[in-house]
Amino acid sequence: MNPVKLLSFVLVCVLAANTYSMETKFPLPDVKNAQRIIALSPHSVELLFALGVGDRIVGTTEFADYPKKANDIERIGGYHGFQTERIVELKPDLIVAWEGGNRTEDLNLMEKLDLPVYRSETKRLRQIADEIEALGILTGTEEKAQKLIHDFHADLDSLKKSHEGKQKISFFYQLWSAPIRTISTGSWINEMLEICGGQNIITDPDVDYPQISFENVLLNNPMAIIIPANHGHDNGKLSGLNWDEWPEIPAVKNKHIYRINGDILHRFSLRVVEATQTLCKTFDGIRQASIQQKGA
Amino acid sequence: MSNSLLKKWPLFLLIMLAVASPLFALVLGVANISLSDVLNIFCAQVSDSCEANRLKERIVLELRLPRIILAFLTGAGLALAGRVLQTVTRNPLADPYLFGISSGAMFGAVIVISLTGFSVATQGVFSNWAQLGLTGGAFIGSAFSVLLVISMAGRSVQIERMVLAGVATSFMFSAATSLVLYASDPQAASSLIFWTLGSFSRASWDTLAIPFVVLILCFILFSGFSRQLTALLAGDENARSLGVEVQKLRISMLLLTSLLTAILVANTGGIGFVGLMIPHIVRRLYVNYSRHLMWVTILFGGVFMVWVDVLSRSLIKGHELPIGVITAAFGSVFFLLVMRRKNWS
Repeated sequence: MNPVKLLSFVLVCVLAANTYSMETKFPLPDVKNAQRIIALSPHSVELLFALGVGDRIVGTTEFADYPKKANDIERIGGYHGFQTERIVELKPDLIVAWEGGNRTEDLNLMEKLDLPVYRSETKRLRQIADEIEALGILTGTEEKAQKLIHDFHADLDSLKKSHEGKQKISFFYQLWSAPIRTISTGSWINEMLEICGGQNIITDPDVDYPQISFENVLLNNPMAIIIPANHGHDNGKLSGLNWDEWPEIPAVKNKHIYRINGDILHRFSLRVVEATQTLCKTFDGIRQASIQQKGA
Repeated sequence: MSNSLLKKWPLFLLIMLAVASPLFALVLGVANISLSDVLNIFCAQVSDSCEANRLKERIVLELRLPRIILAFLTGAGLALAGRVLQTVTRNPLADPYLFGISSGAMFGAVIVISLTGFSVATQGVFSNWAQLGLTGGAFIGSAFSVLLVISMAGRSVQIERMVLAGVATSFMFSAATSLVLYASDPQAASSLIFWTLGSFSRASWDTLAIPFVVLILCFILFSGFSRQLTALLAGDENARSLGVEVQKLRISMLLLTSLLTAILVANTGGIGFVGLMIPHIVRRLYVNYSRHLMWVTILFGGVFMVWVDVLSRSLIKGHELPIGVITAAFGSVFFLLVMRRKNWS
């Protein structure tokens, strides 16, 4: 699996997810203890594995690569759409769809064919718990689900508590370089950075993933620049901007430009906890450096 | 004397616009920089008596100025290419798009981007190589389409056949480009689409040299051949009787325009309609100045494109609209209005 493909798929879907309204809630299909599951997003595959029912997945998208075992699952489509005929052939008793991330026409067609579709719709960081709860009910693993949900909230709460009152770190999040696109304070990715005491320099209330001008970054003097990358490899595609030319920016001057695994940052999976921990550690390092700088 | 100078006021107006428009464009942007700031920054370059804010200076000189110059060069170059093509083929519809030059260049560039994985925004150490590869790919694509069009034109180079072959070539390359886009991964496709719609945001001093030199070179050559080109307008037979080597002239002019277009496409992406529209408007507005048409076309195209770039940056707050979308949208409406009012024949 090409890591660039993977990340970009998630990016596109994150952007797509944004276009749906918050209010729509889709009912759960009448399924208990599903045994043949088709999961149409990388994050639902991760969540099903976390619930201990990963071996029940019979089909998934070309981007689901975590945990490693997920790579062995049959692929039934991806970014360009799904092979509905193959889905019917696999006789699933549950399809975990991704509202906003999957093509609506594909999902409508599956429903028309009387396939049991659960449309998961996650918009905020903490809503990951809602999807775990729903998947717990649908796969008969409610107990495990409740434990995961409890740990998820507890981990995030403790991170939040330990970073309250700490010095705010202003940051720029480089989602895309051509054109320059970032996350705004309203996006769910921003919630993770906020937990760690991060202060986004882009505060567009209307758009979650605004396109901005390079001058915006120059004028707002971010202390940190965060670039989502793939598995630590940077192949140049995602970092088209040459920050080194602009030492006027504090983040550049103090070498606080960080590449963080985009897969854990951009997926609605439990690994967002890991992502938040990494971000918090990063920001703590910056705080340390700024204290040392002042001392010197 | 003063009377004849007065009569030339449309020329002076254009020159004044060509000076004032870039100045105005320099003031416009996200960062708050006033005209006096800009003048101060320029003053600081030549004299020690002026002092400019360092960050503002860098924004104006390294971000905005190269961008405006690239916009000017692009507008000027595409308009010039369109004018020469219209003359060479005696076809009022001719422009770099009609002969597949643009779509050939676009296909070449898109192939280079998707094969090498070079980000279209790459700057720094690799920028020169990436830019060279991109330009090379664009030129090979456009030269290939020109040769294809010429080879289809028949031994006597019939213009009708050339136009038809150009349309077919154009569609062929567009289809190939679409296929590459479809096969690319979403992130690359998104960047590629943004690129094919045209943008000046990648402009930097390093990348301005080639377009500048090629534009000047083409201008000198086109001007040198302006008598022969005018003779072509009277028809191939007449031109031949005046001693013009029609075939050679036509083919070399086509290759030159494809070089010019390829360089511009490689630097800015796909920007349509300018090559078609500007020469027509210039011919209408400056009907009495046929001797000056070549440089008037260049200035007009440049000024036009600087304003298109201003619109692209300011129409929607925080967003940059693709240049090609604005030239096509505004250009076509403006063109229709001018045609209506002037009772085009």
